[in-house]
Amino acid sequence: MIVWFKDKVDLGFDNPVLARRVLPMILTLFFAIFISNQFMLLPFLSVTADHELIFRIPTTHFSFTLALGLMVVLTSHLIAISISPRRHFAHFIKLELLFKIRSIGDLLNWFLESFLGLLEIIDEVAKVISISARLFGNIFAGELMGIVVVGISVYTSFIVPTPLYVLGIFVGAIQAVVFCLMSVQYISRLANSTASTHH
Amino acid sequence: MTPEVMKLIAAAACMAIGSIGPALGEGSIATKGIEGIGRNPEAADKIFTNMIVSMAVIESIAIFCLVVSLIILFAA
Repeated sequence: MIVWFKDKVDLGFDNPVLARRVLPMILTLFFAIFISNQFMLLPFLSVTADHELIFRIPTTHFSFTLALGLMVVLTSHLIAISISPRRHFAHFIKLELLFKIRSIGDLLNWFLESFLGLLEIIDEVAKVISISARLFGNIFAGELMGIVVVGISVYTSFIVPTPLYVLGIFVGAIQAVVFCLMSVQYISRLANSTASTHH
Repeated sequence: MTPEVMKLIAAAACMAIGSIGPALGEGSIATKGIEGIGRNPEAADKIFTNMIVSMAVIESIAIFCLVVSLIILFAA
């Protein structure tokens, strides 16, 4: 598993030193998410007091996944800034092109480029939401499906939910892997495009 | 039509319409992946992991629909 992740991280980054530095964070994220997804196998999760769950799966609370997503995207920005702040901000705000305007066509081109920069800024916000809502939604949907099937009738509350729980284990492992692969992609894309010299 | 009924219809329609596209996408991913495995069985492991990962990414669109319909049902 660790070697597989190491291959993926090495494949993503152009700079092997940076890949070696990012790998521990990715593995930590993977093990934290994987283990907290498997908490659904514990038996005492549905204990309630005053209609509030005492124990719950960490990833079925949106704050947890949102915090992880924010951390990943902030890390990608910090790494890109530490490589070259000027080139990093030039992805979003195209001030350099403003000084190269020589004709009307250049002006129109600049408007298009700055619009694309605006889209990039929106994309950064969308990254946080998509990476965290994916993890939250998958695990929460698995848990909710189990609860609904148990609640249908007496006959469906013992043997019938078992396949759903097997599916839940599988989805928990897959989503942990997907979260880590997406974060590798986010971090490596910003770092590679900032470090590339043809800009 | 009361607002409650409207809410239920909106949540159901969100889930029903929103899961059409991901279903088609996952179907095409599975078709291509299994075709690839049939053509080149040595690469089965690689193709299978990539297939599962891309399926999970596509499935997130359906999950967004689920989150939106849950928000409609419980939060709003």
